[in-house]
Amino acid sequence: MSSDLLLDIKNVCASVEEKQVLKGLSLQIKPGEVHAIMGPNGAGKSSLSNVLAGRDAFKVTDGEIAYCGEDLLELSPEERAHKGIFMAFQYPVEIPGVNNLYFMRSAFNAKREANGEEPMEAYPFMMKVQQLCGELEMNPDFLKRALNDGFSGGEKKRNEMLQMMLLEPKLAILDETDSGLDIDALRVISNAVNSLRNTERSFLVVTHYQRLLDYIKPDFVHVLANGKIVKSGDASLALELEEKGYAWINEEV
Amino acid sequence: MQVASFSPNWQALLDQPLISDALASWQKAARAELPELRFPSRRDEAWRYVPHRRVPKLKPYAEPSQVKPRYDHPSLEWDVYRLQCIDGVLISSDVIKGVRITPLSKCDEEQSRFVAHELSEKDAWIRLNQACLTHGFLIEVDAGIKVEKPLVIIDHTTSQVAKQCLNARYVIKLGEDASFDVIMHQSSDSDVLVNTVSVIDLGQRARFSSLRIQQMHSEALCFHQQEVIQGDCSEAHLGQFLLGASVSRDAVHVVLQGTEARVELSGTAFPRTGQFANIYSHLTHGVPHTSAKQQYRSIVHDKAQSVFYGRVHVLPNAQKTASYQHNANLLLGQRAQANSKPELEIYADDVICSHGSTTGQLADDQLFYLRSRGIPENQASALLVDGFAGVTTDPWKDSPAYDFLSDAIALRGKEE
Amino acid sequence: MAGPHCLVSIYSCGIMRPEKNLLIKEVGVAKRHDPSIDSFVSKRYEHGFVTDIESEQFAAGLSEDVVRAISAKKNEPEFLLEWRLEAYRHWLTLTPPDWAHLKMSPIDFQAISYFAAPKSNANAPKSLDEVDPKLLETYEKLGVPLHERARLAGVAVDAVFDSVSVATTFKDKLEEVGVIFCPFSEAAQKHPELIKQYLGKVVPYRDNFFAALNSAVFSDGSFVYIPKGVRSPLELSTYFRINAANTGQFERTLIVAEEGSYVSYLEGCTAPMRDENQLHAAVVELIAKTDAEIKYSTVQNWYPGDEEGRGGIYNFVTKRGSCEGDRSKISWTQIETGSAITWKYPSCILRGDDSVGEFYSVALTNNHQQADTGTKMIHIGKRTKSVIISKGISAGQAQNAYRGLVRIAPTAVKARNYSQCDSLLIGDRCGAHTFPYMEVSESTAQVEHEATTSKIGEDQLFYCQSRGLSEEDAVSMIVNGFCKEVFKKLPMEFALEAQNLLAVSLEGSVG
Repeated sequence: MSSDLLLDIKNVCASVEEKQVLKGLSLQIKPGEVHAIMGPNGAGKSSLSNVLAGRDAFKVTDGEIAYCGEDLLELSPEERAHKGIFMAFQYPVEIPGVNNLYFMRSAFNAKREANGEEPMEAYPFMMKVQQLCGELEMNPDFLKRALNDGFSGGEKKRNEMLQMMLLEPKLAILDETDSGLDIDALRVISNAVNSLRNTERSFLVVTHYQRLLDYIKPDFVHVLANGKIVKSGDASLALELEEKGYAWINEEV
Repeated sequence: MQVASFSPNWQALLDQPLISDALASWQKAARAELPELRFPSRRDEAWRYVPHRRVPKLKPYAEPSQVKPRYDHPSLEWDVYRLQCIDGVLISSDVIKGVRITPLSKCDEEQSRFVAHELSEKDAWIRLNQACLTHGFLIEVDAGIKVEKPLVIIDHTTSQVAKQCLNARYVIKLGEDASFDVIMHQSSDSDVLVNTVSVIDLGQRARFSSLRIQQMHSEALCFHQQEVIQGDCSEAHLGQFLLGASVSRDAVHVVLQGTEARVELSGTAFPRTGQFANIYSHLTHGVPHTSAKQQYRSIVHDKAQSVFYGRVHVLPNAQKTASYQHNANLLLGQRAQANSKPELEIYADDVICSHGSTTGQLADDQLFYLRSRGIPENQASALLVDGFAGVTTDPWKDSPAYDFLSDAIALRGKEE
Repeated sequence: MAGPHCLVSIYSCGIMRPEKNLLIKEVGVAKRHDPSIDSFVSKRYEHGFVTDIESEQFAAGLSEDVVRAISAKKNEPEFLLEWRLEAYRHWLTLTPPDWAHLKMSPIDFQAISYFAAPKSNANAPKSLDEVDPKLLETYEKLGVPLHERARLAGVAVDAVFDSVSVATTFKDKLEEVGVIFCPFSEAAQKHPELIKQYLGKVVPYRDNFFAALNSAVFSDGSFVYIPKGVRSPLELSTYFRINAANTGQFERTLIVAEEGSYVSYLEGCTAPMRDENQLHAAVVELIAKTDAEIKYSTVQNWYPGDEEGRGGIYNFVTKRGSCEGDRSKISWTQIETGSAITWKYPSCILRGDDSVGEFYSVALTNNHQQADTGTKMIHIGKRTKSVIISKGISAGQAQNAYRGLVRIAPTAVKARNYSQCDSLLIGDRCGAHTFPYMEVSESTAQVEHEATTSKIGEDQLFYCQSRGLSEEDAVSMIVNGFCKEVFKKLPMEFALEAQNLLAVSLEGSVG
């Protein structure tokens, strides 16, 4: 194995409630790369995101995942976050009663603490978040509300991007972040992602549609079907999929 | 169980001094009736589940000769008025313009008639309160007076009155267009039984809020029954937070008898191991165009028990009633128990009434979301528990007691 | 105008007479008189004919002798008589319950006759040919198709007339697969060991006042036994009718579903118009073993009394099912539109792990009717699940209460319950009440309850009317929409019947 990989997924099988969702999936991501995962509904796209983020219900039954050379599967969800994995959820959960700003500061400082840094005081933190709100064209009033509580679909996704920019991950997983978004929200979110792109940071963009990839140009495109990657290529593969749909993949495989 | 059998020296309880001449005949009437009464039990719907077997033998109240004021009360840092009552003895009371605060013992005939208000809920505990009153106040806010700072009522008992039975009564009357806020902090550092009755009478367009925080000793018993009568266009906001006591029941009965009257209620019961906490709310929508919103929660530790009993009663002709009630219960320990009994009793048709009740544990997806952002599991649970209670404390954001209340809840979550 | 004939057919269409549906549609679009809020009078009880056949009836009154006489009439085995007597002696120590949300005058239990059998039927008929033709005619009027005609295929009917089971159809077909479906009294003689084993196991006579009374004096009912692994090839069905005056009806139904079996059972109820109240106190016991499923559906249309509140049936019923085995399931569906007073809480005791209890109910009250109905879900086994959907509709001066208990015992790890109780008010003199109890003693359980009460939406009504529907048709459409979730749970033929029954029961309730 080459040591310059950020993420190395080897032949992973996973199941949820005894149903097999990943069936021998392999994928390698180097620092700075943007990978897009595309595929029909039920192919296992969200399962891959959930396995990487460490959701309990998804049991890895075979294979291994190395992240920065470390066994990812040994880590709790919060440890993964501390080490730079961030998942933007497809359906961010609503948590009434938990203040958004307070939540973000808790998350931000938990990561700093885990990395031996001093927690940030409330005031400078708020200034930082407010600035990010500006970049995302978000009304800072959102910070005063309960976490995702009563947010519209677009507002929730912006809130996810706000957290991503705040936590500055090494590997950001966007789980169908484009679903249900209008064109303005799509633009804002793509700008956020593009502004974070650099030679160190990698992205795994999970999407059903090519549309998002007009804004976020991937280095690699993989097609996921029936729990594994069945085809890989560059950005042109996405265009091909857009044109032909997913049916031909099944025929070809 | 008959009341008389609850005290070894029952006569001593009834021989306590009467609180005043003006209230003497009213008290005597209750003393005559009391020995025949029976404490409410499982058979009484409103008291179902309350573990009466844990009520100790009642010991009469003896006024301590010396009482020290509390200099450490958190409200000393708040911008508020204060009324301090320790072990049933009045220590101090701020002067507020347009507000008369009269100890029950000093109420004249006319005031006493008001103090002797007959509550619509009747039971042996209310009669006991009437018969054996130990302390209390009549607070009258003149018409048009808008009191800018809340009044904190500190009702604290120390070990000087340990094991005794104290009966307090607070009667608050707001004139037309008056505005008044009360923060009632009830605490104790020993195993007393405090049986309190509050009566709130709101004139037309009056605005009132009462935030009640109960932090009694873990061996103490605490019963509180409150009746709120609302006139036309009046507005009330009531909070009940049960953060202590071995057995506690906090009851509120709001009678919306003026049109356009509005009430908002919120509260959290938080019994710890072995404790019992019961919130009882009863709304009577008596006339057309009244509205109510209720938000109650309970957080239940291992072997603890919470009870929520909410009655919404819409009388015939009370059209255009809007009444919403929600109750959620969080079970944190293996043998935690939550009982919920939301009731709608509706005799008018043009109404919108709803209630919801949920009982469960912390949601896995919420926990996962927080953890995926790097918040460690125990901190994430604590955050969710705070957030769960936060829905009931949020309406009190502008109260000077808000931080104190939030911290008290957070601390109670961490104590175990 | 909706005439009696049409309405009877509405009732009967549930037992598969598809051609009558056309008739119902005609009734549905017929323009009715101008409705006003006070004109609840136009609702007629359509099953109110009295069958003129000789019946043998005991003199009113209850004593040990009466209990013995009932037992003797039926040639019951000794153990059953003993059981009845124990129940009777226990009943004597009880007082009628007063906790339900009901207003009623006390019942004089000595003024009731505890046994009435059609005389020509004293020695139960061996086949349909032996049944009194007048009886058959009555069933025709009721829409109970006793004749085994091709179009009725699929339904086996046990009809209980007053207190005696008259005939059971399709017996042979059931016997082939080993299903026992017969009158209770027959079962007591032919299968005493089964009766002895299961009777009173789910509803002991000590359970409550009316269960004790029923246990002492029950006259007949249905017995169903589904052997291991058998799916009943037919929907089983019983029709109950009280005919004689001043009689009580105390039927007893017992259904036992052995391992891996399935049965769907339907019950329909009617009674003629009488000025005095009549008592109906039934007991239904269900037992579902491992992987067994019982679906029990009721359309209850007892005489509700007239618009002044005179007469009508007092319906005090104890229905309970025990999910004894793992993964067993009991589902109660009820459409309650009749009776002056209904007091009924079909319940499930979820003992087996992963067992499931369901309760779907529509209760409609009009005029002076009172209903206090709901369910109890007692979760004992691990991962047990229950669902409660209750729809109450109150019109006229009626009172309609949902009363339910969800109890999660400390053993019921990861138990789940969802309850939804909605009430619809039509008119400003009726009442709708919701009294749920939730007792949760297991921290991994999840219990959810929602309830709403509102009046029928004026904007919905207006919308429908502006599209050309009459007010009554609009109301009926909205009410049916309100009840849809429950109707979906009924066997298909019953669902249509239930919808039409609601429309009829609501007639004249809007203005």
